[in-house]
Amino acid sequence: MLKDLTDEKLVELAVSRNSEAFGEIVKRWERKIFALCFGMLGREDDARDAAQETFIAAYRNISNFRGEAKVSSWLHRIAVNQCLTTKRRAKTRSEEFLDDESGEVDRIFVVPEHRSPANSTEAAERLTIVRQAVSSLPVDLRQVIVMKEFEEMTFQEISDTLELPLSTVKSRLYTALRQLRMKLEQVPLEIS
Amino acid sequence: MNDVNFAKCKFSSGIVPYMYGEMPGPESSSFESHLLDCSPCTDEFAMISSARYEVYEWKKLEFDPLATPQIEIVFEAEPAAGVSWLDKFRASFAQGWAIPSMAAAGIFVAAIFAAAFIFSENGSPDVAANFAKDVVVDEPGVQSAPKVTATDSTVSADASGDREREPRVIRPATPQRVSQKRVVTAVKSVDVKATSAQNERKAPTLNEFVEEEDTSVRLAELFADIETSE
Repeated sequence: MLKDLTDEKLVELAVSRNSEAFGEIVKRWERKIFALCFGMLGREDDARDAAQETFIAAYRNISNFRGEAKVSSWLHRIAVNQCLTTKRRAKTRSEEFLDDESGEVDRIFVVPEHRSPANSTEAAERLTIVRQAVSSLPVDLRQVIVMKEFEEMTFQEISDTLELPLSTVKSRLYTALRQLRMKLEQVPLEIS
Repeated sequence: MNDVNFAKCKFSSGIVPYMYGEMPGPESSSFESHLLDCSPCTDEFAMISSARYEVYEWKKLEFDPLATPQIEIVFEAEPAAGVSWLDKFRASFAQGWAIPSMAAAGIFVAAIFAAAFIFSENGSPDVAANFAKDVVVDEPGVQSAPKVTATDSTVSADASGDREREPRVIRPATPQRVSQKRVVTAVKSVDVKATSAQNERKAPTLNEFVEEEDTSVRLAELFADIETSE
C-alpha cells in the first residue's frame, strides 16, 4: 500500500517513473503546499496555480532529489521558488497594465472550487476540528486570531485596540497559529 | 524542522508580518531571499501558513455566507416624558420658525411698551391732580377710625376739625386706580413712627363717639309737613 510508505520511499518509486507513487506524494502534501503558497501570495487562485506549478516542477526534477533533506523541505523550497516567480510575474504584469485597469480581471474570474460529496464531508469534519481547536486556545491568543483573520485588522490596529506593543501582537499571533497547527496535527483525521 | 536553528534565525520574527503582507518592501525582499536559503525558516513558514489557511477556510465556509446584519440606529428619539415647557419653547425656535417667531416676539414686546407709554401719558394729569389734593386713605376694617389725610409727604390727624366744618356721611371711598397708586406712594413716604403713634392714639373704642346733629331733611318729615299744611 502506498499510503503506508514514507515520503522518501515514495520519492524513490517516483524516480523510477511510478506515477502512482508521485500521486500519493501530491495527495499527501497538496494542502500544505497550497497553504504555503496562500501564505506567500495571499490569494487563493494564485496559490492554486503556484501549488500546481510546484508539483509539476517537483516531478520534472525528482531525479535531482538526493535525500539529503526531507521531502517536505524539498517541496517547500520548490514552492517558495514558484511563489516568488509568480510574484515577479504579477509585478511585471501590473507594471505593464499600470495605466489600464484590466489587471482587475484576475480578481473577478476566480477559478471555482469543485467539491465532491466526499470532499464536502471531509471539509465539514475539518471545520468542526478547526473550530474546536481555535476554541481551545487561550483567550488572549484566540482574540488576536479573531481580530486578524475575521476582523481583518492590521497589526497596528490590533496593537492600538488592545493597547499592546506591536511586537507583542505579532508574537501572540505567531504563538496562536503555532499552537493551532500543533493541535490540528494531533487530531486523528488526516487533514494535513 | 530544527527549532533551535529557527529560533536563532534573525528572520524568524518576520514570518507573520510577511505572511499578512505587512512587511515593508526592502525587508520583504530580503526575507524572500532568506527563505530560499534557510530550510528551517521555510518549514516554519509552511507550518504557520497551513494553520492560517485552516482558519481562513473556516471563516470562508462558515461565516462569509452569512448575511451581514443591518443595524439601524434611530437617532431621532421621541421626547422624554419629563421635558419641561422651557425645552419645548426652545425646540420651537430650533427649526424653521426661529426667525418668524423672533420677529413676532419683538413686535409683541414693542406693542406692550407702546401701550404702557400711551396709558402713562393719559393718566399723568389725574395723577398730578390727585397728588396735589389731599388723599383720603381708607383703611379697610377700621370703619370708625379717624381719617388720616395726606398732603404730599406730610400726614396729620384731623379728628374733629373737618368733622365740625363739614358734617357728612362717610361712604366707602372708591378712588380711581391712579389715585390709589398715589395714595400708596404717599403713605410710603409717611413717617412710620408718627403714623403708628396716631393709630395707637386714635384706636376706635365703643364708648367713644361724637354726637352729630342730623340736619338732613327726611322724607317722613316732608310728608308730615305736607299733610299738616293740607
